[in-house]
Amino acid sequence: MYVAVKGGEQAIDNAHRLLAEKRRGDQQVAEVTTEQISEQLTLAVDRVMTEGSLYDRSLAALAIKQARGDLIEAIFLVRASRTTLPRFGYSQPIDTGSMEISRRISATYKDLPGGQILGPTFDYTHRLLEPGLEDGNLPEPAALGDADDQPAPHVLGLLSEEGLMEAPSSGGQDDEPDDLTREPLSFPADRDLRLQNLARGDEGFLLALGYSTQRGFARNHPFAGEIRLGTVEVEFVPEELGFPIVLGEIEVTECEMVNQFKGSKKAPPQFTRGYGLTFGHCERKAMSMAQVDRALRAKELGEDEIAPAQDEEFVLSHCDNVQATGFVEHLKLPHYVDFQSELELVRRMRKEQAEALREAAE
Amino acid sequence: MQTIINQTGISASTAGFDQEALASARNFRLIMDAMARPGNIVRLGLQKQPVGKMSAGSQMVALTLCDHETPVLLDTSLGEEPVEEFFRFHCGSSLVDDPSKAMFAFLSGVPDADMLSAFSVGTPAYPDRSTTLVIEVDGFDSQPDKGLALSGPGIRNVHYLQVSGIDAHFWKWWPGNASRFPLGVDAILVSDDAIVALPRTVKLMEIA
Amino acid sequence: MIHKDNISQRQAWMAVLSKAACEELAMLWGAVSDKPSYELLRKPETGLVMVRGRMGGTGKPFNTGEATVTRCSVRSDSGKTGHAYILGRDHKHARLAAEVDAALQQDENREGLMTSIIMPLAEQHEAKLNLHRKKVAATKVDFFTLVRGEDE
Repeated sequence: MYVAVKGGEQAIDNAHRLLAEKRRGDQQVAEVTTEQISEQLTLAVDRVMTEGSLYDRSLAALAIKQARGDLIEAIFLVRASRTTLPRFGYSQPIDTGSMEISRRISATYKDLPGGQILGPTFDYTHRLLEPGLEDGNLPEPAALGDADDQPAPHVLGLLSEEGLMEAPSSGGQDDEPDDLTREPLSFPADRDLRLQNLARGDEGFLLALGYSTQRGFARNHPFAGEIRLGTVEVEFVPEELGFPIVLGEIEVTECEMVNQFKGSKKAPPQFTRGYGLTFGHCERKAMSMAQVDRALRAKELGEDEIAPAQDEEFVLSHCDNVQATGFVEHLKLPHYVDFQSELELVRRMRKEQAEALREAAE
Repeated sequence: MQTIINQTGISASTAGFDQEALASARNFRLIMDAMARPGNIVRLGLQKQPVGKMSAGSQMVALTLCDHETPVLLDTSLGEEPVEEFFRFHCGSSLVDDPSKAMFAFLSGVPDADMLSAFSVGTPAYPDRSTTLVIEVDGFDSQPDKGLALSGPGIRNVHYLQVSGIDAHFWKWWPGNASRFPLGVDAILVSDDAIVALPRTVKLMEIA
Repeated sequence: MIHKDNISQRQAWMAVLSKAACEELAMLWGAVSDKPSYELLRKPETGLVMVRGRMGGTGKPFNTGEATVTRCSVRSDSGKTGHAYILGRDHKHARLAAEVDAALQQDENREGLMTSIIMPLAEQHEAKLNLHRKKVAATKVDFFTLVRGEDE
């Protein structure tokens, strides 16, 4: 039972004033601008956009500044902000095959049409701190190479021609997906709803679950079939126009995981797929999402459901960090009356137990 | 640059709300009250030019309740270019021909029995996913002991209503609709800027 | 009824307008003389579009997350209606794009405006892309698979 408390307004106001001063920090130090956050803490912005489920760089940067760099708090702010805006409708599905690529790698195929493109990556760095960054030096300009017009088709499409790779999904290309921002999640959830839920899910939670599948909890050894980063056009059909128009471009990260599958009553031996898609550059998240997507397909593929990552209700009910933090953090709020009644209950039980023991002894 | 617009709204010349947020909140309250008090004549109050054959009241119902998530059906008499454009531009609603797909049906009169029975009545899990009929009529009155005697939730004892310009077979059809509760369609009758709501819970008796 | 070619031409210029930098668009449109006057049918308004992806990149659609979009509609004094839907929250950008969309529908203006506004914007976008492509191309890599000794 919840019991309201009153009072404390002045203290709350003052706490928020103190927060604002702490947020600004030492005023001898220059204030960080949202442009700086957007340009230089790019990956934090990308994470807040992905898990805040709202593509808007400057709003995400503002949220990060307001939250003092607490990304889950920033994600919460972005989610709250989106509820104040009207929905115009649904985009046409983005076409990641015609992405303007910034990075594109495959761990399964060395020579693939369009090539392996490392792009801006932490991979192959030595993970040694660079003291030079403290002094704020200008980086060496990026090298320029010869750009070609070679198309870069999805890698897994190449394998499916041989029939050893399952289709990207069951269901038609024109199927209307469900939307969990409109209807609350219920179980069992179809893959469209699972992917929507995972796309906004917490990176850390999904990373741990993805990791668990590699360590034997669900036992599906994955390969990174393809990871691509780049910009895609977003198209939308306004009712008043009746034809699709381009709204602009967004950056997305896509990951397709490949898993060997030894076959079951429901499907022959083949390679199966898991899919990850995020806003901005969230590679670790996209990879984990693809692993968990694959693990959650256990029932569909007739696999034994033995591990947490395969448990749809467990994964989907707990991967949203705004819900999770709301429920965990609400424990900070006054529960005085609840606790008083618990206290009385425990005292009474103690007393009853003591009496029972005494009677038994007599 | 010439503009006719205020700070918060849509140009008056194209029949949207002038003060979108305030007007739709106010209208929502009025429509909700009308639904809660079946048979009450509620004036929405904002004067608007008709768009095609659509009255001010129907426009306000549309601007308040319809958006891109509510497919709309227009009957042949209402389905003219300016009305269609109104729904596409101001509401962002898609227009459908299939009565069972319509969340709202804007009608210049009572459709025939076949069409009436083709509208969506919702599902047991989601009885709210039914069609709401918005029907243009000539006028209302609420003289005692005449016309229709309404009873049911939201009505103390009985409420009398007279509706002019409505095809009488609507009243013959209504009891069947009401008997399917919790399924069934709801109706909003509109005359100029006044509305009367008939939720599916209303029982009607015609007084000779 | 609008002709199909006209729709694809309009889609093309609307795409260019959506990707343009607002300041560039403002400068080029500002330099055009004899502009018609415009009535706002819908003042710039920011809302959301739910962005969809496809399972496996090509399969069944699913909802990925929303994006902010700003829309605006204007009517020119010659009766042409211009619409804009642009990612982000820039009201000025949406307003300018809607005006240019209306102006471009006027047959006698189209060729001139395509040359003075749309082509330069498209070229700027292309130039930015080309530089980006060169930087990306420099990171293209060939991995060699090495044969391990014990395997012969």
